[in-house]
Amino acid sequence: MLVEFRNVSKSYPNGHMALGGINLTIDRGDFVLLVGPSGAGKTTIMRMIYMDEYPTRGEVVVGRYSSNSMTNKKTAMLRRQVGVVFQEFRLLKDLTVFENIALPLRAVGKRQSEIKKRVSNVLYSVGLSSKRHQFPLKLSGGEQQRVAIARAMVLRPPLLLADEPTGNLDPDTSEQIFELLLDINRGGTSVLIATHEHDMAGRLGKRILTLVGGRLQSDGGGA
Amino acid sequence: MYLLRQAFSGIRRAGFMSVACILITTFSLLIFGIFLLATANLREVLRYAHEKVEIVAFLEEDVTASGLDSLEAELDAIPFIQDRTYVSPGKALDKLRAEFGTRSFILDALEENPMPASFEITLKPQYRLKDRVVSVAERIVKLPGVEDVSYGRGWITRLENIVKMLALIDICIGLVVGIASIVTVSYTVRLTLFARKEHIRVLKLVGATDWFVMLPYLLEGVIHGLISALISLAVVYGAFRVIEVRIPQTVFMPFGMILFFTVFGILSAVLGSWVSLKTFLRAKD
Repeated sequence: MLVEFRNVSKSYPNGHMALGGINLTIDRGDFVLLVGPSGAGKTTIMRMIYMDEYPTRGEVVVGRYSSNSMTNKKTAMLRRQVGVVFQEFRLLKDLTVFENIALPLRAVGKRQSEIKKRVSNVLYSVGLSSKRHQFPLKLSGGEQQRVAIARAMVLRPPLLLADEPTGNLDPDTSEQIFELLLDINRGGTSVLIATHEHDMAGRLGKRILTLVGGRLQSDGGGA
Repeated sequence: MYLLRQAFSGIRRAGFMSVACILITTFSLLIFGIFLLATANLREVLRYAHEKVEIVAFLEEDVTASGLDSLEAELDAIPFIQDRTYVSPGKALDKLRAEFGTRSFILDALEENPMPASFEITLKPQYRLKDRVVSVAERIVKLPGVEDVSYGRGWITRLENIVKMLALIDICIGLVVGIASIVTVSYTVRLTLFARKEHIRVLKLVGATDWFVMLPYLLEGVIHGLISALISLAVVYGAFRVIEVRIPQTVFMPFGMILFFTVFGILSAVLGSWVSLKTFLRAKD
């Protein structure tokens, strides 16, 4: 079991209930789509997995980490096991593509030679070897998202989270990004994608979690 | 090495913000520097005043030459004494005459010299305190051949009260200026960090520990603080040179104070970075 939500609820001091009684599991090698309208709680689930948010009730377990016993240090260690991709890419505009992807490797203290090798490999796998010295704002939206995916994958995490990864992209580019994420999954990495593109999710024929008003409405489909 | 490189490139990237931060920090430290310069000079004035502290031991009229010798030996045995000068009755009268100046003719009416012989005694600098002066004076007055001692009890008490009051005022001003300096620097550093909030956030998301995120910024704080401290020291030194032309007795900060000031500058900037970083590290999107 890679991720487990045990009766997880999240409410805010203003009384807003973001999630209510969520139970779900994600296994190694799974490819899961989390769908639902805006405000359904998709992002909250994502953030709970990389421990940026904590449940007000219940427990989230990711690998050997539990939301009930996290520390700053443990959070850093957990995030090395979970790659995250965002709708707005969140690349640092004053760093080159190479340096953006190298960040997680530097954070774990890898040597420069190892960094060069790993960044080159991951750049090749996302098809952006020629753009390594470019700055993010010189790239198209699709290319920026590929860089973000490369950054999320460079530590070879067992789990990749993608929060609306195609939200800012045109349909063709979106398709390519989904294709890339499927490729990553074929390599053995579990992938969880939050998306409101219900049609695209349906076409992939993978497991779909449907979230409405903070509650899990269905968990099904897929191979 | 990577962290140090990051610190320098952080300063370069921040460009205008770095310059602004250094300027504001410099200005804030400058006020503290001027305060320290004033303190150094106040200490010098007090040191000068303490130099004037002395004990005069008046001798009995019938002290013999051998009695004088043994008295000198007794005085030399007191460890707190730095220097003693014998003043003969004739020399004492000359001094009095000099003090009377144009009115010294009054002394001509004297049939015989009324001035007793005396020893002018100075204590070692660290012992020129009221209690010590009193205890040494009490010891001297008991020596054979000594009639009386004078050490300006009122003057020493007043001087020590002034020293205590000035030290208190100095510490209060120092605290206010020091704290104001730290707060100004903290807020300035915070502004430069605010511009790099996303950088900090992304580092946290990719699994960097708090220390990994903070170290380059703390190093940047050290560099900012050092540059600002050195610039403000140079300006304070310039001001000192200008004042020195008018008041030649003015002194510059001693080495220990310069070191304290530099470390203070660095620590304010690092503390500012630290407080701001802690806030950013706790912040969520």
